[in-house]
Amino acid sequence: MLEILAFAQAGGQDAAEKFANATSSGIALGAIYALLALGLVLIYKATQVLNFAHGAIAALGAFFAAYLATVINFPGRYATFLPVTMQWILSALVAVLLTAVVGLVLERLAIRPMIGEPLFSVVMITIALDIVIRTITVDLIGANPRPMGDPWGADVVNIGPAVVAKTEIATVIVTIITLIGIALFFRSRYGVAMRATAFDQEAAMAQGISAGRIFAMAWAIGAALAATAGIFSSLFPRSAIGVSNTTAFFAFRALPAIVIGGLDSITGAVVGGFIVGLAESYAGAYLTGEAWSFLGLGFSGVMPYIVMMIVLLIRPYGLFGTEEIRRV
Amino acid sequence: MKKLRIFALVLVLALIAAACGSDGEETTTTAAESGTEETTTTAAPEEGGTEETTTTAAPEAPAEIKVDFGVDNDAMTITLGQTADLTGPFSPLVKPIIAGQQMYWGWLNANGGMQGYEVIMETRDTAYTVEGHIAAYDEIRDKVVAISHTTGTPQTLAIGDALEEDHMIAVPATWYSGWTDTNVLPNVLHTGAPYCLEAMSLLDWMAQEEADAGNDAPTLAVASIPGDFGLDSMAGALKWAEINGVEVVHDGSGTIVPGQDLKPVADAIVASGADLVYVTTTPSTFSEVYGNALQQGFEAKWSGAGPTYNPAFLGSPIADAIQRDWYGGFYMQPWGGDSAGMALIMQLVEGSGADIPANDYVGLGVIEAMLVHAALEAAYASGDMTREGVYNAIYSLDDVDFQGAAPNENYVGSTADQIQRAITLWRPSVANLEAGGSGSEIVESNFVGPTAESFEFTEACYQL
Amino acid sequence: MRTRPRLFVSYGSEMSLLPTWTQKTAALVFLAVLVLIPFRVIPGLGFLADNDWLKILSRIAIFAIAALGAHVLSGLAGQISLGHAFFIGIGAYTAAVLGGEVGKAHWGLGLPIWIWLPAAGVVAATVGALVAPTAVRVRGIYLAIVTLGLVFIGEWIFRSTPFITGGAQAGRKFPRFEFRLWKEEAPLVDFTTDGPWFGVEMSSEAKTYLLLLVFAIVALIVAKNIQRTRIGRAFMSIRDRDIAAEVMGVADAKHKTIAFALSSAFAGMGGAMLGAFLGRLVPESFSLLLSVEFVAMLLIGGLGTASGALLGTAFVIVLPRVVQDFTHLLASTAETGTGLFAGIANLIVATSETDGGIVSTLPGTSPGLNVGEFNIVLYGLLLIGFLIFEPLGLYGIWIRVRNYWKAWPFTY
Repeated sequence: MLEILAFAQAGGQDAAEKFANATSSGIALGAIYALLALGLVLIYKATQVLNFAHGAIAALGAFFAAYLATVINFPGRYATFLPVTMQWILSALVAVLLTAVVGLVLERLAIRPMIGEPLFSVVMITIALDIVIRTITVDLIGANPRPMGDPWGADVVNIGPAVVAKTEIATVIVTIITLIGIALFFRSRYGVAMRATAFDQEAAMAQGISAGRIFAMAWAIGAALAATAGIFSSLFPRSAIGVSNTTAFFAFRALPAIVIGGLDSITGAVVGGFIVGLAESYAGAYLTGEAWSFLGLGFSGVMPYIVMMIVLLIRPYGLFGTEEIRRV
Repeated sequence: MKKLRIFALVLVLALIAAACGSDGEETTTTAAESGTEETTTTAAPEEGGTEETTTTAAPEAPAEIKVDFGVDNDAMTITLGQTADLTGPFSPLVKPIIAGQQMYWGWLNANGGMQGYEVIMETRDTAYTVEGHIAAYDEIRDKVVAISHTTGTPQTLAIGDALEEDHMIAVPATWYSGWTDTNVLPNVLHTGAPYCLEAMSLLDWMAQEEADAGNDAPTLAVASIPGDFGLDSMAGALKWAEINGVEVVHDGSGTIVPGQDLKPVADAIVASGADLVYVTTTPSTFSEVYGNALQQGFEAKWSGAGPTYNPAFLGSPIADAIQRDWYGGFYMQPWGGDSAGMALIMQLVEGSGADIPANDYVGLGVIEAMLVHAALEAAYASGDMTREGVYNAIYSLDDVDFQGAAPNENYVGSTADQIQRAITLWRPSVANLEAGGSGSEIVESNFVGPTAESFEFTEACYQL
Repeated sequence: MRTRPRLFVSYGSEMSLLPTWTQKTAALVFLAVLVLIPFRVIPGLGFLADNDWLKILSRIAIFAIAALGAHVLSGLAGQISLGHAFFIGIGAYTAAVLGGEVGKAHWGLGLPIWIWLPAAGVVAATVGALVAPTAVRVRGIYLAIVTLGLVFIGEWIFRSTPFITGGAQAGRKFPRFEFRLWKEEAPLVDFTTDGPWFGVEMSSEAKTYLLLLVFAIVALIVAKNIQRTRIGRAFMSIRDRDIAAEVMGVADAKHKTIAFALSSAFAGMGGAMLGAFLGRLVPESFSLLLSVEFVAMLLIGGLGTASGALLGTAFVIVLPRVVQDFTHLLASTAETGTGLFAGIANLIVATSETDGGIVSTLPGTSPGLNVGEFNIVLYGLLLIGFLIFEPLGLYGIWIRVRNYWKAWPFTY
């Protein structure tokens, strides 16, 4: 299979192929950004906290998954009758749940006491959390990066002119499932409660909704989403070697996504995620070579931030964000 | 009332002063205590470890030994400093290196110490930042006789003036070709073949394999991270292409920026259709470049500077492909080599009981320690264990022997005399990994490619 | 009248920098202590004259200058910025180009310090004023992300201009602390070599420290004075209620732009001094972590006061050293000590590969965190603790202590 593909590539990429490849990898990248952005926006909407520890939580989740799947094979070893893919998915789910518990603990210990404190202080708390969690995660990962042990490996399939890794398809599918899940959640009893709290905290409390419980739930779901993104960003071809000490920095690439979409808009997070993913991918594919060398090193990485600046100049609250009504 | 307030103010100031003062005193006494607390018995060295040194005579009376910083003739201790990245991006590599040093010095101390001196390590974290490195060095510079490990080239250059001022030797964990250049900071010792000559030897090997397979005119694509690590390596690869008349179909020197989407780098390599690819970067960024190229079905002979590779590749989805594509080189024998030095390293790791993976970097730590040990022995033999004495001692050694774990080193003569060209060639092997090795099957030890052999090395390949 | 410290008879006296006699004395004593530190004459503070502590103090002085810039922007004008590192970088590289050696691989004009230091401030301020239009359009958390983007864009610029910065992971040399009138061979005053000054033998560290101390004091007076001017009052009114300020005729965008420019000027000069002090920097030095350090300094010190910024700076710079010494103290107690403390220490510290503990004295791959990691974790936890339990920071603690002693021996 690889040999045949190599032969097909020998003539170099034609324009359609190049566009298809850039698009497909942009969508896969955008799906991960969307997951990250979704978690960030969820936490922001419910608690008005921008979580700078998101990347560290994502890396921790990815480490949990790698450890569960490759080192102790939990819970797969109690369910050997299941196919390998199912076993891995179970491990990943357990890892996501564990990370959600971490999110709960963080909220209770570090965020809850800060309710009502200035924005600046809460941002700093999450930055400090990032420092602590990232350091501990890097120590847990140890001397070598940890492969995820996923069942798809380096397999690729051809979809039209594009060569797509199976992991990329899995990423997009998981993102779609998660989006549907979140949409359904918002229609559920707790989801409505969360929306109500986000809209008007005091009115919601007057209706008997426990704001504390809503905060906890938002952090748990946010952490779970971060873990999912962390796991899928540590797969072939993005990071074939698995989770490493640089995984945590990945989330900073999703920050422009939430600003472009608007900090408090779920739709905005998803749209922003895909915009950033595609912008980065197209910038990488087309703004390279001699003619573009004046753009310097690693331009595709700052592309999202430049897009963000432009969007903010036109719409200071993002594409879908609600404009803040300021009273004197 | 007013008097009271002034009194209160004075009291507070006095309290603060007292608190600060006692804090500082505690600090200094702690350091002194840890320096003197374990005066071991001054037994003669027993076995193995001291064979590579110039003198194996019985210990003389230490009173004749001239000392200044870091060597204590009363407590019989030698203090060595390490400015190491324990929390930054290279901490996964540096922690095993420091562990290797710990094992070596611990073993030496248990066997009578360095001529009766107990060796103490003062390790400080630099977080791989220039600022952190300078602060770490400033803190330990008056306590130590030598720096047995320093992480990072720009960071080490940043303490260059201070090293020179202190006549301190330092062993870098980088293989920048400038370290051999006697005009660039001689205080920093070279170990192993530099990145640029390594690139030449590896490409010689890969081109030979390619020729054996019937392709006499291979094309080359290169890519690297910025900085001396990537660019010194690239300088070697591009020079190799120039000397051998090989067409460079893609030059991506410095284009791999960590933390960014690296698909464009992979795309450029794939589009070039090169037969040989030389990529020097960190393992995680390499896996992203290689993974993206592999996704598009690209097949070529891949190689890169030693630290680009990581044994974890063999447990990852790219294991099969990397087994097929990767041509590895390293400055020392990989794990499980057949030399006496490697046997010592394996024995140390087993004896320590530490839970560390089979990792070549532990061995590197031992090599660094052996080099400093040789310098200390030579300084002891000359009766001058001041920093300057140690500095002069290492530059009097023309054959530092690592018992086969790494090629012997020469520190006498011109840049061209001192240059190390030999590397160990190996191929990745899952079978080897499963048999308990590090997954590196040795192809040839002490290999010097024809281009690397004939290359006239007079100055650093890449100027910082 | 003169004996009533809190009674002011004119606006001028209430606004004076040191309104009371006590404060004047305290400031003088403190200043005298700072100046005398390198001469080892103050009992109990002798250890501060060691070269490594002098360097820590110098670092505090440099960071304090940049932190005062952050204070002007965040503390006075109330704008959350994570972009401070970018302006520090701009200043550092301006100094490097203007003061750097001529004819080397990187740009350098070899100009003297009295040109490159102010120029670093001017250029950084200009850049600050240029990016301000984007920044003044957004508020709150959006501003934090925009300024964060500035750091990433800055890193990309620094990385892509190796002729100025030396390139990523390579870096370049910076001009040294030497005073020349113009480009003459021997500097008039050289702060980087040991030698006597007015007959007193002084190390290069002591000279650099005294120089930086002077700079820091000047910066402090300037920052304090900004607070007392019309512009400073405009900043504070914007911080407290921007719309109300606008209604009262304070031009919002204009003053935010001025705040950015002023803050960047401090940052730029701080960056120039940092480059000269460290001798070599890489583009990665000006990363988000550097910006975060300044936010931490302001918050730990107490947001909104210049003295809080100074306290916070000292705390954040000294903390890693103290934590490290503390861990080593724990380790030596665990190894040799007896009694309860040794038992507790033994639980926390692992001294061999097989020993259990949270932190290990062996920095290799032994169990638990290594000292460096422990340092970082403790730093993070202390930050969190401070923000939760003492939102006003060190300045708040100081106020409480002061109030206690004011009323002493009565409790209120």
